Amino acid sequence: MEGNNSFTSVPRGLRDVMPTEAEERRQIENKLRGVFEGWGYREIITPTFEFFENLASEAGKMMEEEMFKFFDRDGSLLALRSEMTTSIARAVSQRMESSYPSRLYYSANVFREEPPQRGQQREFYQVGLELIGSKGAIADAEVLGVLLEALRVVGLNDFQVGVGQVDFLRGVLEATGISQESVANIQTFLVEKNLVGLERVIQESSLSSRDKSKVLEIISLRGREDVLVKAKKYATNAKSRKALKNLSDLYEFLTLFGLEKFVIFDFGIIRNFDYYTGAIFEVYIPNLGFLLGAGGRYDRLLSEFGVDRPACGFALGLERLHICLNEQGAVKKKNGKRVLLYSTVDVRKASATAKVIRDMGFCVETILESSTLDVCESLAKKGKFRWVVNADEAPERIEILDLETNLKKDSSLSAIKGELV
Amino acid sequence: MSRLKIALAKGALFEETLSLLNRAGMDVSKLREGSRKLRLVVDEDKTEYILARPFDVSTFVEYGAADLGIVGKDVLMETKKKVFELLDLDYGKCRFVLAALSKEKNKVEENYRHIGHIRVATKYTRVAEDYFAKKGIQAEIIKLHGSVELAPVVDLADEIIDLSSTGKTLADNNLIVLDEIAKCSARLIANYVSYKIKFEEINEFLDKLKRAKKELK
Repeated sequence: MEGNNSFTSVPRGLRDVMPTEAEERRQIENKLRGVFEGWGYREIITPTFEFFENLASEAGKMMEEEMFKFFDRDGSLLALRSEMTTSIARAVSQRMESSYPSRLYYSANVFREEPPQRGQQREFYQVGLELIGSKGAIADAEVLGVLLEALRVVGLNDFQVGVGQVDFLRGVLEATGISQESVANIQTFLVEKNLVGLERVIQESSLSSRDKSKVLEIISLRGREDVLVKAKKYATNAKSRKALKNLSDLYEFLTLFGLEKFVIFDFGIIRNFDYYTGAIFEVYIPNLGFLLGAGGRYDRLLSEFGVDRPACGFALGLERLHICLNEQGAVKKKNGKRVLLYSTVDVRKASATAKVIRDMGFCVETILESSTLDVCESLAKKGKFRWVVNADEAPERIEILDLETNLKKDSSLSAIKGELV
Repeated sequence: MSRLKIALAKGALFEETLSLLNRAGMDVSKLREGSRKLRLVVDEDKTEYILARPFDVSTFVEYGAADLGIVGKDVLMETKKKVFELLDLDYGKCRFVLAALSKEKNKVEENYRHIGHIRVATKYTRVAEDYFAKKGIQAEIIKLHGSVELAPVVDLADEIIDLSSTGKTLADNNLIVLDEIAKCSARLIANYVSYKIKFEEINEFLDKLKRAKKELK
């Protein structure tokens, strides 16, 4: 292998997105934008890097180590954003009026110093939204509703969305009266998804044997709405009952949107306890191996920036979404209305004709030198064109080769629109 | 019900893994045949087995190329893959130890007091880093791929961190255990998304293994 040549390589975990992928990705992104905007969400663009201390607040805390950090000229510590929620929380608390809920969405690149995962390297793209300033199940249901509709509109036909509630288990644990330290210990193993370690700390804890089995039963409670009924017997204090009520209300609101069948309730979904404060979501796709996206309610984050406003949101990995859509055959391959235009004698004629056809709404590329049909046909096949058009005798006579049917026909410039179908 | 993909570690754990699967009612005859195939499908059990090196099992599972895997805790501690650790299978028991030559024990301690750092040879550099970081000890970690017990003998390192099951290798090389770092055994691991998508299938398999484990006790 040759040494690192800075002219031909890029740093580890970065990559070029070439035109086909870029086009497909924009298609997906535009569909998502359409859904978000339909629900009244507006785009926000925040700086790519900010003061480290702002990004390293509660949401970022778990990612402090993964952040790319560097110094400003005056010595202040800066960092590339590793997710968008914290930046949006900062912007909203500094700059937006708080009397009305803020509905914001984003599509942006974020940066993490982490081992590569599928569709997620050191720079990757997230699309998501935040509903800031509204609380309760109706707000959770709206966020979840937009998420479900977005997944459906982009064309995913095989996905699952798991919905949990951090306050349920937290409430149950508090009701048992065990120490804060034991609770923290249990949460650590839950977040690390280590059931072996979890069972050990639970066995070693001061929990009664009934409470021990209760905790273990709760984390494997999973299913459709019937699981909400099953969970009732575990809800022993106000906090856990409120959490459960939140989920049943959420379910009721989702039925209003007709989206309830896409959701699975799961009391074993555990995400960062210090950050999330209520309902939490995870998006699973068969064969992806990693989460497509996640989100939930985070009512404490904004107060770190001096404004006390509740909030809920989600983020999806755009590259992962692209991978899944490709696997499920849901990406529209774009070679629809593309025309390759040439002339054997007069480039000016080709250019003038191209303009007329372009104005009809076609995508027209002109060969910028005199050429032949053979040359153009092979170029067109490589470049995924549908038609090759000869403009030698334009506008009276136009020769069209349709690469889909492999048929040649004659037309005139005035009649060409009818031929290119 | 969709098919479960299970990655198994070829190596020290393999035989005991097969007998556990067998007791759990799985058909392991194809796995016992000892063919060189790395992927085996047992249609009746709706199971597909992937045979891999121990250190790769956690990678297959992290990426979801396998839904489940059976692998030692030592591998999980070293590779730090993000996988769901479901069950302690209680076999393949061993421990991570810090060891030094018995006659050099005092010298090593004296050295550390003087120079303030020690040289440690190991195959498990991340386990070693974590251990010393927790202890607040500055260590020069020397990566070896095998015969770690040789390092103190030839003065490549003052101490070693290695897996020990019976303690025989350590004794044969005049090494004594200074500290036990962690106890290890075989674990059932799952890909997190597979665990959610194939929740029923995986839990059914988990129950089978739990029963098979109990029977043995």
